[in-house]
Amino acid sequence: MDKLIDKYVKGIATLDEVEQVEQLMQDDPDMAKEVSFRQNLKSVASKADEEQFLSVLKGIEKNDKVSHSRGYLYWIASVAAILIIGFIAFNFWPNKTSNDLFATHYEPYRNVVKPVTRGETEMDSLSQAFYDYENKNYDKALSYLNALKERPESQVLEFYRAMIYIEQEEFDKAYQTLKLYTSQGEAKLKAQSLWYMALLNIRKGNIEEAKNQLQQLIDLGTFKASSARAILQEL
Amino acid sequence: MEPELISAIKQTDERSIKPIYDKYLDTFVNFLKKYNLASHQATEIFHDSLLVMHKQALSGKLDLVNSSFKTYLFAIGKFKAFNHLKNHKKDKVLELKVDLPEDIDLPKIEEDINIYQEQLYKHFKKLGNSCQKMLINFYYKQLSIKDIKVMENYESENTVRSQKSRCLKQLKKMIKDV
Repeated sequence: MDKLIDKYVKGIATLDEVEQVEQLMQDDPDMAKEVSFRQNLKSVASKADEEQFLSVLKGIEKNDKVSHSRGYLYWIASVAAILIIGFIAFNFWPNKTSNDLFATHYEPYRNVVKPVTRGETEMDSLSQAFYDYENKNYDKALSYLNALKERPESQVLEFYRAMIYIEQEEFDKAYQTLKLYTSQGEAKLKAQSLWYMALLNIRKGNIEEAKNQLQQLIDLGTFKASSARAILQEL
Repeated sequence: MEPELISAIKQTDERSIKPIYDKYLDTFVNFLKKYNLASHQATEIFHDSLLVMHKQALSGKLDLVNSSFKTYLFAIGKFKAFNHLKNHKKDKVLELKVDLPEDIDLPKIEEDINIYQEQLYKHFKKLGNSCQKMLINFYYKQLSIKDIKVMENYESENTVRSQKSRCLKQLKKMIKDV
């Protein structure tokens, strides 16, 4: 009986079991009371979990603040060094806003070439490449892609090669690969390539070029047009 | 959506949540700052958005979502920021109405618990941690006896059943004693 009530309350009872419990509830007030108690308990458990979850988040926030303030003294001691590094960084690295914009909008493009079926035992190199791509094993994915020079999909694979270069933080190489990909005939992922090229230009501080590419994306209107519009406003 | 992230966000412990928290906090907060939100408001919205993800992961909704974890989290954040700004009559509201994934299930205002449940909740909070965890796992997170045995390292499924039964009895006794 105990199991049956729990199945009913958890919503995993069969139709027959549901009927059985509802009949029992009509016939026996104690049964009705017990079911109602456990249903209320389910709502209460949800509220308790919500409170505990938020308290875990607050705990993480608090610990992060403490570790930041512990680092404060070290920070003061390091100010001089940071200023020097900062001076160098200011002159040679892309600015933070550009990096923030890139980080906010960038995520590797999803696999639209080869769907990977979980549990597949024997995979050809293309499947293996996309299996590793989806699982963020980018080094392995790249070596499988490199083994696949001549295939009907070869052209579009260049696009994914560029995604992998971004993940490996080889941004210039990624940009050149995308540029080459879009210049070859009819690139299926042209809009997507423009989006990533624009993001890479933003990251590098080439704002005018990025603006131009975002405008092309808006004109195409097939991919990320509204995001491109929002970024253009920010730039 | 990434299954490993869905599995992590279902948990209610720091070890599972912290990697997600650390990975997305800064970009999320910087993203919302552009809409005239202060850091503490953006952090609060970050917490609320993670809570929505937690609940939707537990209800199985996230299993059906095609967008990435990040896209979905930021979309919920945008939606919550939109509500916040609307309530505080700030500008920039219109700019937020962009690019929400098609399969997003936007959080609705949830009904609060009733008076009886409030009383029950007060007693529930007086239970020991292990009982609270047991009842949350079984009734809210819908874990089976077998799952709880494995997750909490119980000796056997029977031990889990008796512990659960003890917790229920304890809670009922607290209510009766009032």
